[in-house]
Amino acid sequence: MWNMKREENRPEADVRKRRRIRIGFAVFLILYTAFVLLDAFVIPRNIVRADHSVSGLPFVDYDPVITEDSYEDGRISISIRTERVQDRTTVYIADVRISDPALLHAGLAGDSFGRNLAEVTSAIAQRNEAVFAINGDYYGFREKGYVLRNGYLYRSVSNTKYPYGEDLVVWEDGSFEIIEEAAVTAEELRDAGAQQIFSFGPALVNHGEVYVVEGEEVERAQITNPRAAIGIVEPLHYIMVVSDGRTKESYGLTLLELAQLMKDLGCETAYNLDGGGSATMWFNGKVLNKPTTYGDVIQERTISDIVYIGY
Amino acid sequence: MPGLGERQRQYLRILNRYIGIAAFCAVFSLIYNLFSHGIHSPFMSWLFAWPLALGGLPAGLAALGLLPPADAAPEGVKDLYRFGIASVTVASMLKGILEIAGNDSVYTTILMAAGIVMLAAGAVFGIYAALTAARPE
Repeated sequence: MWNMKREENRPEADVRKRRRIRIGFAVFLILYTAFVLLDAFVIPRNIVRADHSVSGLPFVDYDPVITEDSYEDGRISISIRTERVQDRTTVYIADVRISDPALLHAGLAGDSFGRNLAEVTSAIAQRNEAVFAINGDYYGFREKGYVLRNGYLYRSVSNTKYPYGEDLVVWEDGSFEIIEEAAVTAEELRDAGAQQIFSFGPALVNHGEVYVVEGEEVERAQITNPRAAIGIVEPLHYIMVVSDGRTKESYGLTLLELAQLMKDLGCETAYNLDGGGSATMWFNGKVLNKPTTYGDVIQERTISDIVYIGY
Repeated sequence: MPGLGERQRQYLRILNRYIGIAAFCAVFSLIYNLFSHGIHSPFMSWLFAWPLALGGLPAGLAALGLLPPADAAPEGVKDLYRFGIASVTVASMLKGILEIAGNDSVYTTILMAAGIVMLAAGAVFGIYAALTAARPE
């Protein structure tokens, strides 16, 4: 009798067991998905305090003359203008001249390197008493790609997946060079005197020529978006550009359009920094452009790092 | 459905279920792509193909009698195959989300690999069970 009852109950018990296994697996997949997304976008890790940041020059000698779109103190000269490109995109162009390469710095969110550590451009700029700033390469959003800031090497894992792997090196004398991560290690660059390595890309202008060719324009490169770029015209003379995008007033630029603009502005070397919602230009306590966050909301987005001019 | 055997009807129900999942995936990736500012990922764009190719296609072929029925396979083996489909589909969705954001994670690759292993194991054990059951006494 007992055996008969057990036989009758077995299929029902099996069904319940299978159901529990299926529900368990579904719960596992949901939790795994949540973990992957939190790990990728939220949880800070690999944090290194940036106590070793190189300090700049003492600010003692000059009284700066500051207007709404310019700054001049004898060592730093900044002139900012706004242009419309193809009558559909607003572009903010900063012409920056410095007397010493030590006036070009990088600032980090929370004064620390780390994955998913983020802060708005204006907060990083104000804490560092910057004169002028644009967003950097948002290294904290990626696992790979060289990160060297103010002479200190934070990450030496190379990334060779396009558009990554093509880096901008800022040398001790303030000159720019485009390098391939596949061809040189981060340690070699550090030992050779690199002060900054940005690993977003791609390179826009190299040796005075547009470096973005049409055949390379795959996926993200074809898209018009807010952009940020940095270029060098001649020693200690830089061009920093941010374009608005994703709004009715300002459509955005393709990488090719941005590269052409940087070349037309006289850049010998120019490099694409993080764009989209990150693209931000800050000057004299104000954000000049209209950064888009979460689509088309005009608001500063938190990022990992900035490039700034200051003491 | 007159003229159809119970087994065919069973596989057509499975086919419909996978078509439904594929349709959900297609709508999900369509909506996601609408808000991705023109940046696309093949993992997101082709998300619907995983349940369709790995679940719907075998069910359709079995309904047409072109594949041996999986009835003989233990439920655990069938579940292993289903979990494999779910794993590669979710891994593809996550890879798509991260790729569109310009991000990457080793955990999506682990999930994709685990899904492929489950699919392969489920398929091998399922085919073995079908062939063993079809063998004359």
